[in-house]
Amino acid sequence: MIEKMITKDVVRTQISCADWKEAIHEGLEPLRNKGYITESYEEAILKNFEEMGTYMVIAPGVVLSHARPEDGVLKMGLSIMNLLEGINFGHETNDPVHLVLSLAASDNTSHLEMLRELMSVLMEEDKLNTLKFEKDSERIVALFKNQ
Amino acid sequence: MKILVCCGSGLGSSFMIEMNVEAALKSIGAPSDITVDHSDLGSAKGYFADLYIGTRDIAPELETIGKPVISLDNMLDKKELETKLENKLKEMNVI
Repeated sequence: MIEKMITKDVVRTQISCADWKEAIHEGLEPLRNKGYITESYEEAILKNFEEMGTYMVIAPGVVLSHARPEDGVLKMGLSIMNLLEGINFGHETNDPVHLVLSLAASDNTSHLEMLRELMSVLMEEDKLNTLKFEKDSERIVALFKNQ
Repeated sequence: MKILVCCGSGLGSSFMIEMNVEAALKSIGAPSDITVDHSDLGSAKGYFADLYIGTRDIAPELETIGKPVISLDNMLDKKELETKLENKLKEMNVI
């Protein structure tokens, strides 16, 4: 399932951001462009950070940026972005962040299979390193083939 | 025994951790009648689980429920989860 969703147009590499808010904003760009999310989705994500802290920085160098379906998801999608330079989100152990995964789930379940597939890629160290540092977006797309 | 994995939104990280918890339970040879579920923080209190798992940001909130809590630094780290799970289940006399 994830193979179909990770195409070149949702992968951006070596993006330069001034701070974590800009990283969140830039991470959502492909989903915005494709009409998968509304403006309010980004606001909801930023609000989550304010209210619940940095829990979305799920592992060293990785943020899973997301809010709830009713916060502004029109269609399910995932975008992948790595940063030119790591950015601090304020997490005690997992900063700096290099990989921004932006998830738009349209309900509570339809994306779970995709997350399962994403998880198995994230758990392999060399694939995770590719996601974090690779400049060539084709190589990132290739990670998800035959998942 | 019921384990509940929580995150802020209930549809992303908590599910991914749930998958790892199920694999970890098998690895450490835990009893097969342990159920694992996932939810957002808001629903956590009404769930009445025996053990709660969340990342370090969420853990303090989970602790207010008054049941055992496992706090994870790195959601993708199988070793951290297995170790903490095994220790906690031993403490709770489940294994």
